[in-house]
Amino acid sequence: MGRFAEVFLGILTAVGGFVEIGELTFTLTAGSTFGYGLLWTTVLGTVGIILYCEMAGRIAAVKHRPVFSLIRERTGLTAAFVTLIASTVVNVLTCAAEVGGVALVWQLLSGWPYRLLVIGGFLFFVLVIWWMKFEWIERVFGLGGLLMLVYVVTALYDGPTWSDIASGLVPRQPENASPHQLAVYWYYAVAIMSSIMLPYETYFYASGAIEDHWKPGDIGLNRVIVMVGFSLGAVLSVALVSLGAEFFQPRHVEPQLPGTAALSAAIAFGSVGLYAALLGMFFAFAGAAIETALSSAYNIAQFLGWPWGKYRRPREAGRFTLTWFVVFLVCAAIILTGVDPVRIVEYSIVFSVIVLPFTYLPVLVVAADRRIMGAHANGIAMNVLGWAFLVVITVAALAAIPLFLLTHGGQG
Amino acid sequence: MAERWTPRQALHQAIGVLIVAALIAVAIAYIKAQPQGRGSLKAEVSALRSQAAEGAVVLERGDKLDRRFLRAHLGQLAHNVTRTRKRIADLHLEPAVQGSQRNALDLASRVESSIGGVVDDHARATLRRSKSELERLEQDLER
Repeated sequence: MGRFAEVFLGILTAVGGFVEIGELTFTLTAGSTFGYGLLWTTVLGTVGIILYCEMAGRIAAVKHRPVFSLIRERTGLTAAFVTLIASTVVNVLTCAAEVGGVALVWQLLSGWPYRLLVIGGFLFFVLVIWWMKFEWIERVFGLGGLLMLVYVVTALYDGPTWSDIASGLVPRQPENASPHQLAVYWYYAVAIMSSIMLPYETYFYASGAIEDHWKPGDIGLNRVIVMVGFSLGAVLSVALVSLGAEFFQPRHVEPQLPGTAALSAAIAFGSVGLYAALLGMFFAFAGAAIETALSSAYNIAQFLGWPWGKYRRPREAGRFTLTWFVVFLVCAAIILTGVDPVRIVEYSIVFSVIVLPFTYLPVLVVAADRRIMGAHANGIAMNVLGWAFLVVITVAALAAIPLFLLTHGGQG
Repeated sequence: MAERWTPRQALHQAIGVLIVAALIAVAIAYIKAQPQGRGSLKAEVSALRSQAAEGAVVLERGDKLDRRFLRAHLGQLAHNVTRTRKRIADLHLEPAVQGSQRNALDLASRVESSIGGVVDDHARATLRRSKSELERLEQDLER
């Protein structure tokens, strides 16, 4: 059971990465706007995140080195500092959006005032991270996030058009589209891939592997975990695209709220569907909030060489503990200003594309280095795929901001 | 940790980051102050059309939805419509599209009051009509 339960690290990382509030609305809106036309980006992003998380997990198991320590060593202090600032901004923005998302879901469940629930959310997260052991955070939020499978069931119940799904797996621009519509299409392609390969997933996964004290003998388990966790995330993403195409597109709705996403399950399965969807979103958003807050603290502590880790007592890793606490405090303060959580995360997803090459290049270089990894270094196929993805990520990073400005954040 | 900064180098890095952040803030403020085209208005009209369409779906299915969820979700949706209306009002548009901006503001107010008010046939009809008018406005702005 002990080793089997490790799979929840992969599930938590994937659910917190694939179906956090930004990805949820992005994917549904992409389906509502382009039908299944962007499905290939989900597959591409999933293969990419499986590749890089497997490498990061393997490095953590063999060398016990987290990602940010590699970034600092391989890219030099200045580039690592810039990456640290950019990734911390992205993490804090994403975490703020998730805190807001949790408050929105709680409001749908309770009807209580939103701002009061934001404060409640802040206290909830601080207590959870303070009191719960890392493996229990993985298990509770990973297992709870599985309630999101209600969207897979709803998509199947609505009857997806399988031939359209198959054709959506092949990259193809929409026919007879204006240059502006093409820009929107490519904006969503970049944003979906970025939201699947969000850098905090890799930071969290590798640091989590060290928290769980992985050894070289866990490399096989690492492979199973990334395959199971991220494939599950991909299935959820495909289901969301399908719901966007089959449920929301005919109704001319581009979902921007968690409650809108829950409508599809509520209409199909009544109260059971509604509550499964709302609870699933709560666990997924809360998992993402914990992932991003801990990632910020991991990155800063690893960059500055502080003792870090949930496995240490708070007083043994005082600055690490203070960092995640401050991150939650800042996030709650941002959300209390009344800013729209979904809009924040859309910005953070686009800007995170820029961090991707800086995050993944050092991982690839170290995982490929036989002097460091010995017999556990990448094989030829892994290196070829890794470099191919790095090229794709770099092109996406260069295109992200121009596309964002050109399309008014994908709004047309 | 092979490489370390002296306090002086760290200060230079911090100043560099602050300068870049300030430049980004100035660039954003400059872009926001420029007159915006029909694309900016169309983006907000599309958001409003989606909100009106969703409001119509929710009100039509209202009797089959959990009452607490219905009230809370309509409240959140109405809040989003208010945000969109404020963004439309804040757009600094070129004169050629200011008529469309007024039209969009009028429709936003109607959508807002229908979603935020009493759930009845009048609200449902208003939302359906507003959605159709917003679709037409979207098409006009596309040209």
